[in-house]
Amino acid sequence: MKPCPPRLARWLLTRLSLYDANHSIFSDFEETFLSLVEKKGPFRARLWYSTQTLQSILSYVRLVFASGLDLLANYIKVAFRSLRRHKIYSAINITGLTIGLAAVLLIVLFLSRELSFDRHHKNAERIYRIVSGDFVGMPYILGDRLREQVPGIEHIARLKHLSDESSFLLESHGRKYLISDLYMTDASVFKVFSFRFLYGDPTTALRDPNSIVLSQSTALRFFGREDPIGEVLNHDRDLALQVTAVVADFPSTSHFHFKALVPTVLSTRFHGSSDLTSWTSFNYLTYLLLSPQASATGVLDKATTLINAHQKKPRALRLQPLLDIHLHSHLRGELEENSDISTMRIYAAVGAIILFLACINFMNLGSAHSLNRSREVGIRKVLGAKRNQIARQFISESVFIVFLSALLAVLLAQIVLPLFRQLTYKDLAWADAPWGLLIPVLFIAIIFTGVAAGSYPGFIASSYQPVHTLQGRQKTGAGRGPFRNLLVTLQFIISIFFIGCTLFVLNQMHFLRSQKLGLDQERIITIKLPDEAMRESASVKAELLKHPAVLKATCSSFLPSVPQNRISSTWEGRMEEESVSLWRINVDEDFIDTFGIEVVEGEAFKAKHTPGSTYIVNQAAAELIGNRTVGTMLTMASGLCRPGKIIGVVKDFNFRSLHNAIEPMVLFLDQNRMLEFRGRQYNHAAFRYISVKAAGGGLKEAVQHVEDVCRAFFPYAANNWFFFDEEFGRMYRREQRTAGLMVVLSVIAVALAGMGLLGLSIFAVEKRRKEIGIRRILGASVPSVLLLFFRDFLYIHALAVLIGFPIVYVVVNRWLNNFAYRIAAKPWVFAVTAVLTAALFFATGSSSVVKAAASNPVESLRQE
Amino acid sequence: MGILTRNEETILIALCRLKGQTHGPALREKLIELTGKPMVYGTLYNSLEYLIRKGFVISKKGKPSPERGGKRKSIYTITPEGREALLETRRLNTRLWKDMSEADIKSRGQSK
Repeated sequence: MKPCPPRLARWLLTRLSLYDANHSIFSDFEETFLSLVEKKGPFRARLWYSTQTLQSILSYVRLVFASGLDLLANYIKVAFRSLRRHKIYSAINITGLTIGLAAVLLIVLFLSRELSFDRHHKNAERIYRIVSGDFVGMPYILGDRLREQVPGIEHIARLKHLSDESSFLLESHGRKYLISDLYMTDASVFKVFSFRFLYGDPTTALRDPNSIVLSQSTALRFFGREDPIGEVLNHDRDLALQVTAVVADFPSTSHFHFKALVPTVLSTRFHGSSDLTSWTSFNYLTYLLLSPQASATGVLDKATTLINAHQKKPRALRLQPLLDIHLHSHLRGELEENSDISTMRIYAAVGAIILFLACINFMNLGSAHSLNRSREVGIRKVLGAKRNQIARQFISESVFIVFLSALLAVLLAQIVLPLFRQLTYKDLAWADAPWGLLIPVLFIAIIFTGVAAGSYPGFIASSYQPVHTLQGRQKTGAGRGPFRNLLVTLQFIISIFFIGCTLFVLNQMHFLRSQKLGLDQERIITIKLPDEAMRESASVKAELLKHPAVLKATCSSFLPSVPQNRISSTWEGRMEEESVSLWRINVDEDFIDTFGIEVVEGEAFKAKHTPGSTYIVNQAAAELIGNRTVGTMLTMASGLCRPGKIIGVVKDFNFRSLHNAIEPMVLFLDQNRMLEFRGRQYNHAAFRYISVKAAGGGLKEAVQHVEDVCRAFFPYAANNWFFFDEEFGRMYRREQRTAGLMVVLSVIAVALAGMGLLGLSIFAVEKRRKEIGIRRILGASVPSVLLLFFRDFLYIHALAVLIGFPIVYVVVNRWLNNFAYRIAAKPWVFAVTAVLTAALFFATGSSSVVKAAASNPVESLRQE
Repeated sequence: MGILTRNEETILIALCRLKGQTHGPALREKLIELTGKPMVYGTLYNSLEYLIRKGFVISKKGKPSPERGGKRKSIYTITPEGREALLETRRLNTRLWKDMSEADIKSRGQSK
């Protein structure tokens, strides 16, 4: 066999085609290689080929840079020297750039996570979710009809939580487990989405009506091993689900996560037979995998026709591309909380602004600094440097500094990543970042920033006349110059913008927290009962009340923070056609007392009132009903409620987040009882939550007692309790996250601007040191010298305020309009912003001036 | 006309010894033989590139030959200017070395 040169080396040679114009490197190599094979054997020849290739590439690089390389080495040496000599200048420059670049890195990391949602599915671009109006669900039957009648759909997958509440009790080998995110779904779900099967077969996994597919983590949790195929999970004695497959968990960047999947046929057992055939219960999330050539609008039109043939009011359907769900979809009934594209845009913009600020600093300082090096430029020019060589020196120097900062930035980003995780997501990791894209982009950004920032000082410095610079007559103008002033003004505007916005955001958050919610949320501990324990709510409550640290206790169907039921209702004097949807919470007689809700009219629930037909409304509802609300008969269209009297009116309390105004709501007195539904008797478990009010100072004992009670009644869900105020605060998590990030980012932005100003003022003072000395000798006071320096600065600040405030006003107003309860754009906040920025800049700028002015004038004048 | 660098000088000498015309591998062989040191192609090409830019050497693509897989090879030829430069360098060298023995070099620091 003919020996062959190493493939990689050969490929490199042909691809790079070095020296191609004049030399036939490739064939020369081949020839020598062949002769070497004869003389020294194939191994040595191959070794020779590889090392030769490498060395030749290196020497080619040397040829290309030829004379430039030596100069470059000199430039870098000089850059190092000047970095060392001007310590403050370099510190400001490198710190600023490092912080800016680190911030950008982290923002990119965060954004790339948000943008990567659901991309792990192989056919992600062809998957759509069909939704109606503001709700995510669709009738089950629609999927069947679509599959039968509409071409262009490859597969359909429907999803629905098995239990209405999101957790479900399963039992195996005598141990009980609560499982959340248990979905009913079609067998074709494995064809629509990409699942990784660890055990089991996708084609048969959900074929049997009693089969269950577990996620890897669930399998481990239940059975302690990954392959529990054939094991049985029981529910309620009469339902046995057999594990048929184990699939890998979805990555965190998925718009929904499952713990287990079961076939949709189980629905009939839990939700009645109509669930699968009704055209009016919109319960199933319906995902379509369209064929590559199918038109989405065509499918949508057909689906709309199918749906509206069965509706009283026509519905407008939409097809959401799967990849848009995480950032664009904010419907009722989303499986998990989604992010918001506009927030992402804000982050991207803020990142760009911070980088921009860092660049401005760099340019400003660089151009001011170039004056200090006019002698060096003069010498270089005398020695024969051309103008573009000087410019090249400055540019390569700035690229070098940017590169250095980028290295430090990576380090800094790594250090602050844990903190950043707390502000954003816990599972943020560098490994998930799109490095293939990020590294080239970062590299280009470094070069670009370096060149952009270095070209202006390079341009200035290269224009110096050697004669003037060497005589020391170079006109100095640090802190002047229209271009530099423009940049400083921009920095001021940006700082004012950030400080203003942050103040407003913090103000609004404070306002939200201090809002009188109309109910007591302190020292309230809430237990969420598992399904099985709901029937025992009364005895759990009685047990809880036994401890002295528990003052009060109440059962309710929902928490005041999250009522989920809206029931269409009518009352005396209102026709059925005019029915209104009212929020409803089923409560026991202690609810109003425990949550400290104020009764403004009528009375609270008492033992004498009959459960099932007694109502209390809030003020918003009372307004709707009109005068003499108390005593009015109310009818709610629900099997639970018999028509009954409204016995009281409570003060409005905020039961949803303060984004929304308070809506009409009904408290409905309920208890566990037997009910008749469609001729069948069934046991109605009324309450999901039990909330207890702990005695002041007795919170710890109360928590301990609550835990004990939970463990006694339902050991498998012993930690199903939480503090009510934390749950309530969760509604503002997104705002809090925004506020936290805003504060951090604006601190960074303002710090950058301040550092830039500090650097500039140092140079300005240095240049005018003699002037200050003479002025001082002639009798000028320190303040008057200060004023001299800050006159320009005050003009710039005034201009920045003039431009910045309207921008702040518009942006802040738009954000505040998200809230039903918002602060006004108060003038004092603007005043504080103006004063704060002025003070900040004055503080950073004045230190060097004061130092120069206060020093003995003789010192500064003695220089020559 | 500038003085040749040592590298360029060596290459031109090797080229002259090969009758003023040769291709890459042969030139490299000759250089290794003359200097007794290994030679990287890249260095050779660098020097050749400079010689070509100065006009002392020209490179032409030769006929494709079967043993090179039908690939054309570059033939380097020394130009009259190259010969002139080499001559000048030789004259300089002889001037420089005239009356210099090895002993003169070894007895460092002592004037003659």
